[in-house]
Amino acid sequence: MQENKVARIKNTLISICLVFIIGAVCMMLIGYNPAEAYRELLKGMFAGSLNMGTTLEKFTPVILTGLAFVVSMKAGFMNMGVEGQLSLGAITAAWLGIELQGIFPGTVVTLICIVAGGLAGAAWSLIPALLRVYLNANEICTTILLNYVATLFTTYLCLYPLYGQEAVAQTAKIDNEILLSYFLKPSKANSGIVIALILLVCFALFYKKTRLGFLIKSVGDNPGFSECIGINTKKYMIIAVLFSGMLGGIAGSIEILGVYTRFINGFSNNIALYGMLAALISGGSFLALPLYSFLIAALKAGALGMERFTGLPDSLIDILIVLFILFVTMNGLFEFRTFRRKNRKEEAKE
Amino acid sequence: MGKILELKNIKKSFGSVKAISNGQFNLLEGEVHSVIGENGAGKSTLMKILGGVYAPDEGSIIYNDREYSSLSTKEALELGIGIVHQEFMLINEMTVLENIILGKEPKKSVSRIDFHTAKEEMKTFTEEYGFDVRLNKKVIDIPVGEAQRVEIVKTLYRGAKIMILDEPTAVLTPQESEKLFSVIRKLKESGTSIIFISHKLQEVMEISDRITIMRAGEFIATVNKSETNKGELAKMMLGRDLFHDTNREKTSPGEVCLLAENIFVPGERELSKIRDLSFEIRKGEILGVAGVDGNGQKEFTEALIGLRPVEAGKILFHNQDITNLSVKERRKLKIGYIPEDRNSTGLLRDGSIIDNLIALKINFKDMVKNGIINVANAESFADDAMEKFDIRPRKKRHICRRLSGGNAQKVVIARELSQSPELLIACQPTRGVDIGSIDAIHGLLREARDEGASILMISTDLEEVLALSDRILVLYEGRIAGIVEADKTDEEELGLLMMGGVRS
Repeated sequence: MQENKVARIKNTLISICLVFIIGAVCMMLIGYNPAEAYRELLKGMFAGSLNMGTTLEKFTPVILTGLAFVVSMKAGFMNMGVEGQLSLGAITAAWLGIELQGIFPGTVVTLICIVAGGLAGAAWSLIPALLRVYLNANEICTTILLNYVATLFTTYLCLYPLYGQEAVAQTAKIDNEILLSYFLKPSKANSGIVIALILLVCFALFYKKTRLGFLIKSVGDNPGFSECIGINTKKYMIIAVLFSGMLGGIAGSIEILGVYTRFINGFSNNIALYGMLAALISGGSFLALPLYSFLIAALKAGALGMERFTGLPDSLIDILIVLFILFVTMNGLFEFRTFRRKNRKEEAKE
Repeated sequence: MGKILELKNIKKSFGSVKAISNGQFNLLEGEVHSVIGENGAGKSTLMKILGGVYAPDEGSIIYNDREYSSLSTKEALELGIGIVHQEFMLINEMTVLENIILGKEPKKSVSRIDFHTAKEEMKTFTEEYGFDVRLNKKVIDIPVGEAQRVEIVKTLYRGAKIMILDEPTAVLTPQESEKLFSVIRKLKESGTSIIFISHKLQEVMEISDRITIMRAGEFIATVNKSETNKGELAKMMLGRDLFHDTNREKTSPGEVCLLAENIFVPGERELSKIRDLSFEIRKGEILGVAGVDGNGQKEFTEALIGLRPVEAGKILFHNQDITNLSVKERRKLKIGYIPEDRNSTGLLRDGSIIDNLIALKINFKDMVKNGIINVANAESFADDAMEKFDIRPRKKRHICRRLSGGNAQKVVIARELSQSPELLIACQPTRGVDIGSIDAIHGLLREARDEGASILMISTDLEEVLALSDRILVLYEGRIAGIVEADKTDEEELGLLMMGGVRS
């Protein structure tokens, strides 16, 4: 185990270096100075409250959607539908935020919005869960397809019933009282990060300590075994997927209440995809997930700064993130080389 | 008879694990030489060194007075050393003939295979040795015994002068084994030397000229068959006396525990794989289920534990109808189940020993309070179980995938027996387990029976069925071919029943 961890850390570091070298070559090819670009990138990640705040602002949805993915992965269910669950959670939070403002005190509405967002996400995830469990429909297909249904449905909602009477497709703004509190102004870092971290710890403990967590993991690790033991595999898979959908929904609510103040069509810009990637490279580990999520969030935030000051398109950073993920997932790549070297050493000894 | 092959002072380790610390072996021309030892004694490794799969760390291989430090698989083949592996290396979709000539095809031209010549050549083998193989059948359609003969012909066709048979009888019925032995005798007459790997002492005594015993990677002795006996061999193999329940105590079974009435159970592809099966098990008895693999054992046991629906018929457990109960409900009634394949369904392979041990206990109050696992209780339970069932290493957090077959199986058995089941359905409780652990597992099952459990034990190993059972049910094509008292039958009668023969 220990060896494994060391290897993974080494692997990650090598991947980062490699990615930056490749990035530098690309920048030179299109005529930019890589040193300057990377300086701006780093600045954009951490320097000053605006940049640090932007990193933390991005961190919240990445880790929550990543957590959503991990939670159902433990039961052997690949929830590619976090994006859709997030959209529905977001529009639910926006709608309730507008409808309930003034009726209840602000904090109460905030709580209602977040919980309702979570429920909306969970309800949406129930569809692929039932399809998988009872009809054996591949969840990767169904969840991806349902994403389109969900996001297009939210587009309809914010264009017609919840239209905010402005030129663009968005709802009305939610009252300030209901919004989450900000820190590191003028960035949009918000108290949602606290909720995210609490949820992370809760779910880590849930899988480590509780009976329900044990049963869900057992279903994911070996469904055949679980059946022989007398575990109702269907039930526990559905529970895990509901948790996953709930987390996706909560991520959406927090984005609305913390960052955007209203539902804007297409606001998420595929943020759940990055969460999912963070989850995949962390291999379902609750310890690695926040680290990778933070790295990805920082890169996304830094890319904005880099674009602003050097004119390099921020999509370059997206390419680098993707390359990074590619390298990290090819964990055989670097191990193979060290293995060969070890062999050669042994041969030399003989 | 001259010495044609010798392995001297072989050492081989894999990483920090010493597989062979002192390997000695020699082979005379035209003899049948058995190599016996427990699983992990190093016999397979030694043979793989001979076949060129592994290179030894130290030691030498002497073949016809020439010394080699190691062989490649190609060299081994050229020298005439052929291995018939335990798992057949055949391509199911090709015919027997195609399989045999694959890689050494007689050619008409560069790109055309001369099947005619191939067939002619095959005739010499089949006639000379009396091999009963059908050349035009696809491998997928032939029975195991025949597939094994195909493997042997394949090896001969490649010019083998030394043939290594790696646990060849593990998959055969007694009748098929008998057929294999006559093939071995014919090969021997024609001058082929045979290395026969097994841990079934009965067979070894029947077929060998000389016997080499290995234990824990070390050479123990090479003896002539005529100068030894089963007891002595077992002792050398284990380093101690084998516990053998020869004087079977007459058990006195109590009331009926499980009663199946005319049950029909569907298979994967067909309806009613199990047809009209009725039997009963009483309290405190072991009912053995014998039969060639694939005659409905899987469907039968899965129906009893509730993994598979029953089409028709009734299952009664202590007079309660359990036919439509779920696995969970049946387990609550104290029915235990040891699945056939511990890797796919018996264990959480990526889980720790403790995870696996508490998996059944997880619904009980002493393990869980308010939904949270009571770690202290779980650990003390695991410690006790590991001690009682002698699971090694005694590390609770050890991942089960890294356990040896015997210890992994003990984890499964510990989990099931610590529920003190009233009925235990044990499928292949000792498959792929070393002799020491087999002995221990048999002891545990007997103990459970003596404490009043009813045990249904499914096994394809006749020796095991005979040694453990009080009564024996023989399955043939999903029906009962016969139910016999264990002390009034023998391998021969069982073998006949297993092949669908009528009880004489």
